[in-house]
Amino acid sequence: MVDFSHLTKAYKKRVVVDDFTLSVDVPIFGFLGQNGAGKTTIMKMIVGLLDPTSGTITIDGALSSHPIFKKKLGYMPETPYFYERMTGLEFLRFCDELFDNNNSGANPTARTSHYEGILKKVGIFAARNAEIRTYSKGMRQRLGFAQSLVNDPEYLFLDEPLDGLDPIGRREMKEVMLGLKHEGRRIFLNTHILADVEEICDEVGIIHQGKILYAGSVKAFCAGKPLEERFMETVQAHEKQETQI
Amino acid sequence: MTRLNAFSKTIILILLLALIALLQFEYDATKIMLPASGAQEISPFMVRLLDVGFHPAVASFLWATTMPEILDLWNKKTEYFSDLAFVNAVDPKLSYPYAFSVLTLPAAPSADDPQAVEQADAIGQQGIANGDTDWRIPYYMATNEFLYAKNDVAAAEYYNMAAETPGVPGYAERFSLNFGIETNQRQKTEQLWETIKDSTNDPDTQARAQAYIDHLQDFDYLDAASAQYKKVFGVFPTSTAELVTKGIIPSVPVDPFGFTFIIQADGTSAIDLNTLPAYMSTSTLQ
Amino acid sequence: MRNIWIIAKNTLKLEIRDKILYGIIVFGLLYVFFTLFLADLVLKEPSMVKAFGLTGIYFFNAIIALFLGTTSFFKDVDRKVVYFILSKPVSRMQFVLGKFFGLCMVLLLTSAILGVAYAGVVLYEHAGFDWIGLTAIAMQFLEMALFLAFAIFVSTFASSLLSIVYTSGVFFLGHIVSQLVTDAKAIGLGGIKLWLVEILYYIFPNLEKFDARDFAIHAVPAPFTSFALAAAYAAVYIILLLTAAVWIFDKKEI
Repeated sequence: MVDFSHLTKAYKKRVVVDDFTLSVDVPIFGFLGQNGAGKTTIMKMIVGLLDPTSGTITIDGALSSHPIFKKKLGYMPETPYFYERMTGLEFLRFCDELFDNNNSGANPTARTSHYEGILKKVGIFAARNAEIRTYSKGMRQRLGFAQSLVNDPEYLFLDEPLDGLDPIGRREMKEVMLGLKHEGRRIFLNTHILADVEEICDEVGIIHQGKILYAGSVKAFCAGKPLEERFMETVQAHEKQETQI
Repeated sequence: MTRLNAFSKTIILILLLALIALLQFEYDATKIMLPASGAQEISPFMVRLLDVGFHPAVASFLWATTMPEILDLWNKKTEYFSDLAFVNAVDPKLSYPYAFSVLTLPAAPSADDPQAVEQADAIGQQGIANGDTDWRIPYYMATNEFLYAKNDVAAAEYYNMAAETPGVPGYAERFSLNFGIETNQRQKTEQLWETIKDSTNDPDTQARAQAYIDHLQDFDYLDAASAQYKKVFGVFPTSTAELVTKGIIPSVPVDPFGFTFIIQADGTSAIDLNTLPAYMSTSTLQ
Repeated sequence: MRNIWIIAKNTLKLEIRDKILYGIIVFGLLYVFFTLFLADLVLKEPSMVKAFGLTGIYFFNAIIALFLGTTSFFKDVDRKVVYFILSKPVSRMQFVLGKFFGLCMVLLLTSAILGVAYAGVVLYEHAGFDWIGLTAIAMQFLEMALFLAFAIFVSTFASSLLSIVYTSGVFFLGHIVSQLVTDAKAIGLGGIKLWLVEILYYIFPNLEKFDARDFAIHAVPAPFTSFALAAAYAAVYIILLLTAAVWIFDKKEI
């Protein structure tokens, strides 16, 4: 169970996340919103890259950004950037070592098979020994996704995971996510693509200008209409409300 | 523009390079008409400020460019001195420039110039005052005093200074300590040290002068013993030990400088050149 | 602090793969062999051969330290590679320290490579095995570590270009600070102005104390206490700079 409690992030001139309160307890939850709505900021606060101005994020009662809890998280940043001169395999190993799970000491060969398994899952096993600077955009997305799995996380936070993938890639990654759901993991993803939300999310959170406009089941939200239409309606209704105030 | 093949491109590049060379040539031609620019652009002070502590290296490099001027001292004397002063200002502790100047100035082509030895001397004094301990400076100064200025007192003093400088190699120390021990010089050298001993109140200097006197008198002593031996046995002894075993002298005198004495074929005493006293450095470099 | 070691090791590995570093080391080695030629110019005078050699090592290490210090940390943050690192149970302090120690290891490596080349040249020129020269190289390494710490500190709030300017400035000033105080007194500066200059003298990084080259070259007996104090100075100053860097970085919105 992930709880956002009065989460706020304000910079000098603007409020990016505005008194955000939400509870999530489903396998796959999607944050849906336009660019600049605050989705990435929220995700960064969950994993501790940013500190909230006020409010808290807790997972099963514990602060999500606490180092102990971070060991159970996997995170994929929007547009991942890597150390270009590392190979895919080296990068996974590096990320794994930072978890301090005493795994790498145990049995290096077993660990390597674990990494290779992940790389196979995301479809870049063939490039595992190539330097990342030779990777295409799609391969980088997949590697970003791969490193989020390296510590067998209970919770995954993925920021625009399907960005830059071709249609086949998008299909493959969605399959992976559904597979992870069946393994009992919880996934949060940021996206601005409506179709993805419809396909794999159990629940959706509509975010606009740092506020949550709706949170709940996708079907209930749609109520028979196309998601796009409902989304536009909700956003416009909110903006009308804002101008009236 | 039509596509050029590789050959045409190469030709164009070569032509452009030729044009560049031509322009450089023309530019140089115009520069000749202008008067030469002024002297030193930067002062030693500025160099020291800008070189972030690289004084020895910069001074060494400047020295490398200064040294060849000594080959043409006839024409480049003033230049040499000002460049040397610059090097010394950048790193006063670098001893080699002083030593080199002391050594070569008197011997360089303008050696007829009586000032050469004095100038060398002045540089040497500076070197002793400011530079690192370098046995070569007093050593070369001593040689200058002996060879050119014919000033034996000063030579003896400088040789002594060289011998006492830390790091002096054995061969130089030995030479310095035995300056003027030849039979025909000995008397004069002894008087020289007597003068030095009398002219000072410093007990260390007096003790040192006395050491030289004792050293010289040891030779006199052994020469006399050797002559006595010849009188008695008809031949000269082959070693100093024989003088003792045959009862001419009670024991071989202990040399204040630690040298071993030998008797030469002509019966006169000398120091053994095959050994060095233990305390002396056997290295052949500084 | 295992994470510090992991990040340090990784930094070392990655920087070694950087072609620019190779270029600088190759130039450094070329220079050290060039001193053989310079040696002939000064008739193989040992003090001068050592001067050329040690200065060259210092110069190239300084360039490497400047380059690494102002880019390595900054790039990781600017290019958001840190997102992968700081989203894991790694603190910002561990990241800063890991980068610092990693870069120190790189400099240790370059100092060793150039140092061995230098010892070889000196040996070849029959100037003996230069123990004090090695001490000079060790002192230089301490200076480079301080230099790195400063560069990382500046990287936490300034871009690469600005870092290079600030760090180079500190490098130059750090070597003439004593001279500036002497000059201030010489031109008759008094009262508060002199007081300010002296305060600056005491707290501004004074890099002259790491110059054991003078001792190596001029064969002046090496004062052990001075070196020990210099090492302590370096340690404390590095702690100061890295602490400030961590504090600034902690507050930085990435």
